[in-house]
Amino acid sequence: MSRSAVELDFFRMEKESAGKPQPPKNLFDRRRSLRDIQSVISKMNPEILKSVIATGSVENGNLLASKPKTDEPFLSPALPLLSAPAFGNCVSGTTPLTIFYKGTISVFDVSRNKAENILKLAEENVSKTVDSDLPLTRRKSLERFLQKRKERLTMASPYGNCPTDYAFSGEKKSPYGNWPADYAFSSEKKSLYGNCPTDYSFSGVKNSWRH
Amino acid sequence: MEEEREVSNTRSDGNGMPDLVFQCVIHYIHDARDRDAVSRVCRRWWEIDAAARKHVTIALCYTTTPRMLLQRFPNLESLKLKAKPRAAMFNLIPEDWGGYVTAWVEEIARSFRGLKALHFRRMIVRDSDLELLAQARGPALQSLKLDKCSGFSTDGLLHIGRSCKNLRTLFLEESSIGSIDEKDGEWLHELALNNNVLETLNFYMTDLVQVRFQDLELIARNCRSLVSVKISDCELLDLVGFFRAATALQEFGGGSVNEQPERYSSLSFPPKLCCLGLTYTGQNTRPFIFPFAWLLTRLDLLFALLDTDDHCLLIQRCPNLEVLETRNVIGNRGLKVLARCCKSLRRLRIEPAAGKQGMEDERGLVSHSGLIALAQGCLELQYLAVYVTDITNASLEYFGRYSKNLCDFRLVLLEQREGVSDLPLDDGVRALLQGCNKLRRFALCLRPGGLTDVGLGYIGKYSPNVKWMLLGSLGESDAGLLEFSKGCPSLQKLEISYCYFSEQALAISVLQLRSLRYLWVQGYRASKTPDLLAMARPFWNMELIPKRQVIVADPHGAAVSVEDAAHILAYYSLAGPRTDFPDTVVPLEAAAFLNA
Repeated sequence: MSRSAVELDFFRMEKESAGKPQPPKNLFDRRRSLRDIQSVISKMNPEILKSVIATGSVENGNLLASKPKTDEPFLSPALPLLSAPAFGNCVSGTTPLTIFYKGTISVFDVSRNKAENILKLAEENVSKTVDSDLPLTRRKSLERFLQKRKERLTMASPYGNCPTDYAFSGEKKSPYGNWPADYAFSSEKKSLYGNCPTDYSFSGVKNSWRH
Repeated sequence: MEEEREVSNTRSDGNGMPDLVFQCVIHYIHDARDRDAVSRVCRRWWEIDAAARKHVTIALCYTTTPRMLLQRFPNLESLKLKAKPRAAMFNLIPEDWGGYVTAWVEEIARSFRGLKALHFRRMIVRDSDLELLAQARGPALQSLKLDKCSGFSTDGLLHIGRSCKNLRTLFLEESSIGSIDEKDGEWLHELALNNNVLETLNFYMTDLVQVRFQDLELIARNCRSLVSVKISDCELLDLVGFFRAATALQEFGGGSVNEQPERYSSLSFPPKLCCLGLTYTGQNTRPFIFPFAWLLTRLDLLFALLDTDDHCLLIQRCPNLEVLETRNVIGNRGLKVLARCCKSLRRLRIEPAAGKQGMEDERGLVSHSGLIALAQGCLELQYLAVYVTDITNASLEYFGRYSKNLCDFRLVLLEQREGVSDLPLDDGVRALLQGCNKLRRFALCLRPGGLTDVGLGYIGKYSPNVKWMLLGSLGESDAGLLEFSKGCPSLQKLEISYCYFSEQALAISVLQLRSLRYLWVQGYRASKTPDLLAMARPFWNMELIPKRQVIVADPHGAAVSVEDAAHILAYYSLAGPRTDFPDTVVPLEAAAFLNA
């Protein structure tokens, strides 16, 4: 057992898929470039990545995800499964880093260090993308509107004189906490001049406003 | 002798056509490019065009000087000046970057005696400039547009209101007149007292809130030709009198609906109203919009509070819609309704907004299925700007196949949690460019992997008429940019955002793009040696906004310090390097020495 796989099982997919036989699509894609790996990781749901990497525990060389903290609304089948060689047990040279994602299997031949770096990268990328709703990149007029909309909602009278127009998918008009916490800025970080959050491979430019 | 005198009076060019004939003909040639071409035929035609030219647009004010403009076109009646890079609309350019109108206003006051219309866009205008303009040109001024400008207060507007009795158009849209700059609503009151020919009044998207609606009503009563009014936030119920008085009104924007729907039963819009943009309004506007929705040709829902269903219900009642602006809450469903019902649609703009759960309809996102329907349904489409959450090559191919009238195409792929169906988009982009041969403006912002170097090459190869481009997160390497720059024969203005090309590649591509006169870049691979200087040449100004920390508001309203990456700006200029650099901007040569 020189190479025990570290499997991050998101939302107990193994359990679910155990019931229904799912022939994996024949997409065995052996790639080498860092850019390919990065682009695969960039497509993953950062919330999921973050919660799994953060809360995963190691059991018999397997890193299993505990239940995520928040209710993740995107319970789609497009959940990635990240499988890397257990860091303690690697043989020298390259080992396969297998990423199961959306029915495709991507295998990267990487050294142990690289694998570690990739996982670190995914973490960093996640904290960048999840938290950085880069306000710089939104059109000024739209930012202004979203800010004003937020202000208007928080200013709404507590005695039911709420404007009848805040009918967001059937949400009630009460100003006392039926409102989502921070809707004023979207999870979309792009504008025509968007800072790309996944641009970690080039020197000199850091886009996270958290620094 | 008599014969000689006759010959000299009817001077003509080599073809025997007297000047008089051409002087009459030239007034029928309006297009700027045609005038430019015509003026190069011979010296005489150059002189005639120069004397007869009525309107000039200067895309960047630093490319020339007021004196040069006067020498070239002394009889100008209308001038449009622009300054700050487009990125300023996204808060990426320092406020004091430049673009001061002062020197221009001084020359206008001194020399341009025929000037009637002035349009400043993204420039810095001071109260003293407005005062000078009002003093020198007040009664002659028919149109004044301070478009996304800053630096002035209501004091400046007061001069305009008092002196510009013949103003037909006063346009202040999105100008930054902050709360400290608004003393009161006197400027509008002065305008109301002194003017009875106003046709267009616009202070939309400004924070001018101390205006009195009584003054609006007075303007409506006095100005029988008032056709377009767009205001800042104001309760619509206060405007009942205004609407009643403004009988010629065709366009209205702004206002808000804050009371219960029943109270609006007394509200009726003017009979010719066909362009509408209500802000901060939702479903409760249905009762008074639906009855005349069939008349609407322009609809602005960018700052409305409608969800996807509301969009569908409203749009299906607007068969005559030509222009629609809204946010991506319209969704694919709304786009399908648009495609089915609005066959006259020419312009569509879809901005991104809060997509977090609960704020706007989760299903209200725009992607390829909506776009495919749009392409097939709205064959008159000329302008499309859209933010999508998902896109396919096929949907772009549909545009190539159906959207034969498309002149302006802008697509941004939003960062979403889930994967995008179908990247890279090389083939789709090629099909779109090959099919839409009227394309003049093109913007594409994707993500790494969105377009390969081959795809970038396609853009270069298949965009013969495109004059402006914005490339965001495209390509894989410098090779892509170099291939791109072998093409684009008409490209005059290029903006590159986060494509991470090297300085060397940028410099080479600038030298290869034969029509290029303006370049803006942010998010490039800086090098230790000043490789960018390879593009140095006469008349080519190069500026750098070095990377800096900026204070912005985070999603929770707290002030945070963010790093804004360096910008490169380069442009042809006959005026030499500019002399009004703020601290945040440096000429490139100097920057190169600093870094060495």
